[in-house]
Amino acid sequence: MKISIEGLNKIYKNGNRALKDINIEIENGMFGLLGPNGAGKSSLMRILVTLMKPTSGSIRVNDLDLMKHRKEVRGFLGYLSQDFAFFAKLKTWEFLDYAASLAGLNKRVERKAAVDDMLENVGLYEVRERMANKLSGGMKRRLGIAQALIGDPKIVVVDEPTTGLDPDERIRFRNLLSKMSQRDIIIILSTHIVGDISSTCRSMALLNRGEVVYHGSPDRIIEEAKGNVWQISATNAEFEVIKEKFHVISTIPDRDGWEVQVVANNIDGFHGINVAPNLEHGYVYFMEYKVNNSFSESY
Amino acid sequence: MLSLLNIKTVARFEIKTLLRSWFFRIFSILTLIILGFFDLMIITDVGPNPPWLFRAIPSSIPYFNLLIFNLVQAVIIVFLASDFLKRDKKLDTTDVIYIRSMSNGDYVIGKTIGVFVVFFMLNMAVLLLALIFNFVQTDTPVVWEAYFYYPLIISLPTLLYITGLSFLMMVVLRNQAVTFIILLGYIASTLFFLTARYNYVFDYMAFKLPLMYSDFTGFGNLDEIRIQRGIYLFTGIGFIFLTILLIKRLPQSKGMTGFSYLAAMVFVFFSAYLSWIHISKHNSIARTKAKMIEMNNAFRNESPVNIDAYSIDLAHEGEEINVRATMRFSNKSSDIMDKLLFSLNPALEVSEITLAENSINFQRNHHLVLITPGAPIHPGTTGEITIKYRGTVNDQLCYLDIEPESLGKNYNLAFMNIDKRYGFIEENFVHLTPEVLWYPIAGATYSPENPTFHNKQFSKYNINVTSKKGLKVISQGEKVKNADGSVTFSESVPLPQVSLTIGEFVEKSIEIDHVKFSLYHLDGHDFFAPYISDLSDTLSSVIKEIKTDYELDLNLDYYYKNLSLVEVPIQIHSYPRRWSSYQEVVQPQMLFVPEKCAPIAIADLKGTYDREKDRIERSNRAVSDRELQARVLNRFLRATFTNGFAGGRIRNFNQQNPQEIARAITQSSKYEIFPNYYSFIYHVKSGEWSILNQAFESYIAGENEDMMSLIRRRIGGLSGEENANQALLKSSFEEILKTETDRELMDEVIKAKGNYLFAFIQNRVGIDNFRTFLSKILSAHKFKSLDIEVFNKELKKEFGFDLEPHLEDWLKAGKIPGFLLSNMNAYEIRDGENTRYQVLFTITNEEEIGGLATVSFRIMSSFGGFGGFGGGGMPSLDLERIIYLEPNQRKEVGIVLDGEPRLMVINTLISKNIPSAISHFFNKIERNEKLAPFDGERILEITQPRDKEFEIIVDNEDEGFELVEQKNESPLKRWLDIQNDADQQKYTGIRFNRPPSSWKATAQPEFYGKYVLSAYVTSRGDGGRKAIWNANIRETGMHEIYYYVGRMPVRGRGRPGGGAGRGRPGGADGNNRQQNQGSYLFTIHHDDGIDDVEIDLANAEEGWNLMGNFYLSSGPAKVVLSNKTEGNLVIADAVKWVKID
Repeated sequence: MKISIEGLNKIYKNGNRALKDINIEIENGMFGLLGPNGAGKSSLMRILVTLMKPTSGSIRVNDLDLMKHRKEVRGFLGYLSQDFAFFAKLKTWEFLDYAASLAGLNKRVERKAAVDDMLENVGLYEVRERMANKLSGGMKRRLGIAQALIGDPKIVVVDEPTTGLDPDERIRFRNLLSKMSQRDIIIILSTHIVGDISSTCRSMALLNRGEVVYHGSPDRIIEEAKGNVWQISATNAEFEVIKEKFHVISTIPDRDGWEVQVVANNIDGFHGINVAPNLEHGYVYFMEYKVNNSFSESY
Repeated sequence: MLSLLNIKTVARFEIKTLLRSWFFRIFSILTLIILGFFDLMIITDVGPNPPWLFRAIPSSIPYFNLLIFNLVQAVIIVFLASDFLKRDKKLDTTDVIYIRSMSNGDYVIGKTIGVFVVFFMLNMAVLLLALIFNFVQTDTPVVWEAYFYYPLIISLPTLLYITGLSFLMMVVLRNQAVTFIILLGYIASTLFFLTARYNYVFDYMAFKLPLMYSDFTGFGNLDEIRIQRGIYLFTGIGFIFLTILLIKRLPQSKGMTGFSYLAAMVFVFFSAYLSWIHISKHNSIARTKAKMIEMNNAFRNESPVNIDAYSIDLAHEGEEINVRATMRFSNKSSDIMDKLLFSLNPALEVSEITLAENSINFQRNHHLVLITPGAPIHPGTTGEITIKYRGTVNDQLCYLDIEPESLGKNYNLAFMNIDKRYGFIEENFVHLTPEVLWYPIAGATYSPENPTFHNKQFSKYNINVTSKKGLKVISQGEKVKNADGSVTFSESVPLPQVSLTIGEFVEKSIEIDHVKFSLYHLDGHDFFAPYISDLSDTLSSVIKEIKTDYELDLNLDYYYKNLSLVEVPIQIHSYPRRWSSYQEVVQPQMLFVPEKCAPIAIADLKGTYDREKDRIERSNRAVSDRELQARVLNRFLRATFTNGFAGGRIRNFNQQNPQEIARAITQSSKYEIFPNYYSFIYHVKSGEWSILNQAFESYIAGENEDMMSLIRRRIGGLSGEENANQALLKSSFEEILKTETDRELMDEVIKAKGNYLFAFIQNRVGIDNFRTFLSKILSAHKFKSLDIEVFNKELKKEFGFDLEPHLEDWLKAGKIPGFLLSNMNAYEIRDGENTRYQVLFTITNEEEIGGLATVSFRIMSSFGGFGGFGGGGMPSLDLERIIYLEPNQRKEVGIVLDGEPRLMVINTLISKNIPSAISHFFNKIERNEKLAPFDGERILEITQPRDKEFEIIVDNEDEGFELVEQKNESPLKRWLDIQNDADQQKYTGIRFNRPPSSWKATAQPEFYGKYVLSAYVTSRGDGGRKAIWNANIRETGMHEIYYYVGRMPVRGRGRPGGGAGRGRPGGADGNNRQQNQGSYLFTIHHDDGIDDVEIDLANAEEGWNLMGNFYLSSGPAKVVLSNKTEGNLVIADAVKWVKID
């Protein structure tokens, strides 16, 4: 399964250009879509799940043009929207049963087995008779991913799935996605939480103001940030200067002042040590020094 | 394109979601409970007075239930259907559903089916509920067809249309609140404003569409119903396809998109086409009728030939008739006729006309058949003409004289709408009356240029009918069955018209005094049988007694040998005519009653029987079943077919306001047999004074109606005569006849003018003399027309009185008189050896036109009291005197009576007076030995009493009188009051035990007034409602201020009525409320300030009551009465200021 996005543009009626000449190829596995708010992630995903038309450009899913073959593409799509809630009057299993029916599982026995299996997979079997809207936040998310995954979709798009979840639920949810990505499917994970991508995705794209500013593996972004992440022990007065001069990633107060982590090419005038970067450091470094400084590089 | 599996899935989950919605659940449960309660009350015997209609017409049970339910579900669907997008959108579930592989069609159709199935299930539950009650009520059969048709006709199109419309509005507006408000506005406008307009084209929920299902003929007009419901069915489907196109989801199937375009176009255009058919059919009828009237106007001066005899051969062939009508005619006019003119229903196709056995040319122009004979027809010559024609009749082309508004007015009973049909030709049922022009009638028909003219001819009839085996044929005359299966009807006396009814009837007959009384009803429709089961040997005596009483009352005899009561479909409708009081449901020797007499409440013999039995048991009296049955039947027959038992004519429905109840009591039943005693026997013919025929009819039918008039005013506010006088104040009789569209009012005017005319003649020639003369001249003109010139000639010959010069004034007078009455006294006197009673009063006419007043008395009987109207009708009054007053004339009138008068009623006939009939009770008659008997009239001089110069009286009718209503009433209540007032006349009947919550005018003889004895009445309150009398004081000085306290009901005097028993003070309006009259609180404005004055009603005098002396300067003065009282009500009548020195 492969998604090829070529020259994709989206200009809204109000003139807002949401996507600018997007060119990406996405292959099986988890694909992360990272970017600040307003970067165009949602527009791209809505186009990917056939909810919206692009202004120009094309998306091909294997050999199928997404716009011309909506019926076929929708046949193997799964989608979990960010603020997804449930019909108030359906039980957990009923909602999944509805999704399974719409996903083409027409035989009752087959559908029941698939629903039960999916409920087991997402850890909701015990609460299958509970009304869907009575589930906890984490359970609802799991039910959301369950409905997206039921019927063996080939492409699953999940939008900000971990927002608002507690750490346990978030880890559990990430693991669930990772587990699902073992199958022969594409899971596109759109998020602004860098940790979600670093722990699940082998490939990712970074969107900023409607443009893809990075497309590749998360490791490469981390690599870029190597030697540019510093840990500085600063007094209160120094801390005020550091805040002005550098992009501060973290601050921890200590007895004498602050333990501060910053992303910067150098920290002249301060004493600090280089620390090993993670994706979050890489993302910040990339956005600060590559994108905002109009640093152009071909990837 | 469309996936049934997807549709099923979406529908399945929509159903599940809707069924689990509390809103839907509560709505369903409440609906079923409320409908169940209604059913319990109106269908079963549990209710205190279950309407007869529901048991008489079994189909009305499912109809009523679905009609009411449909109204509610139309609103609920709007909410639930428009909720579907909002619900998905709000919960953000739309996206995860929309990315699934299904077409937009699958989704929208699935949703539609979901909504539809849930509501259809609920409709089925409602029908099941109706069916259960239908079964429980064992004497009401189940009409299965109705249970099948009503959901298809009422619910299906409504559900699809309103669902489609809601979906469409929601996808276009994308705002549920706006959608809901707009659609509710739309529903309200169709329900309250558009209603039956444009032939029900806007009635999407069939709330006003006539859908009553008859046991005879099913629906009244199935074609029209199909078209009207088709409009909404197809529009609904079209809207659903439009929703598929407009829904904000990227389509996934070009085929579905194309199909949706096509389907939306096809369905919407098809429904538009149906609407066009529907409206154009309606317009086409209106155009054709206009053309027919135009033709009648063009030919109205053509003298028609007189048809001496008809010989009609009619074959009933499926939905057509094939007729050969041979007419023997004569030219009885003084003109040479060069053409013959006949009227025949336009839908009947004339194939051949032969004159003297020669086929001749003719022209057909709508209903008119214009024949040019080879040679002119000279006066006095006779001939024979045969017209062959076949086809059906278009009954919608009837009643040219009835305004389209009246014809189009919705006819409903208990919310259920009944089609108006005037004739039928169906395979198993035929009903043809003269109005449908089923046989050729000489001359043109109605012309607005002479609206009261009607070409009535008396002809001999011989009718031969062939019909389907097993069907019973009913027409006028003696019936003979022929060997070929046909039946022939022939009548020995000429008839003015004939009718024909064919159907699957059961016939029951009884012969009483050489008259064969027949009853024709559908099999199973003998609802009356169990309630006359004990009367087998006394039935004839019951009928005979009713007949005898009626004939005595009319002073007329029944001349026919047959009288048939024929059951016809509930849809058969008729209207009062301009030229006669009878309606089409009454024909010679025949009365057509709607199936099981469904609209006639008193036909509920079981209900009447049970209630009467209860009443008797409660009063510990013993009455046998047989006697009870006789009583019940007696009341039904008298109230329905005679002028008796007026109380029995109050219907359950459509008579909720006092005016309507009053009309029901005082007006005759439309099924009254009277035309068979007069209208079909006699005819007063006049080209110029054509209204005279109806005036005669009206006079004969109700010569003595003063008691009725009193009762009607008490209940309804104004009597018919007073309504007529109000109209005559504004327009002359001639103008009213030409322009008035209110049929009821016109009828009242004709009646009032007729009564006046005959009172005028009686005044000139003597009451008894005229009665004898009229009886004689009518007897000499039975079954033929009496020319008004002949009548006048005879009148002149007998009495030397020429009526003709007075007719012009009678018709064209633009003014009416007004009468003032005073000094009404009665004394017991000695007249020789006898004790007699002298009645004296003064009557003044201060107006510029002369007028008449009749004086009638109710004399004390040996049993005392007046009698009631519980049995055989109103107590009658004896007409003693008719007084004529010239303009500006005053007379003292003396009447000497042999019996003690209890009640005197002076009826001012055509006058400004309200009440027009002034009743005066003689409570105590003093003995006066010195008074010499005076029986006559004395002219007195009109002088203004000197003390009047110092008086200023402001009555509630005067300009100085004003009213203040409560300011803090809710706007809704005010609006509702305005709506109620809009339908009512100024003077209303007041129920004094439940006084109105705003000021209402009422006219009663006990109130003060010059011509109009009226006052305003309202309930007690906190003083927010006020009556203000403003006067302009002429001269500064000390003034006495008086308030007029009317005798009733403030004084607690009873009203007449209440059955037998001397001196019974009356009902609830009488003495028993005297303790609770309270006092009236007045505020008097004078030079020294403002004073509050109370009048304690228990101690107040009848008439003027002094409130005190106050110093007033010349200029404005004011007295205010508030509604703050301990009593039940406040009456604002008149205030008087009297200057004293």
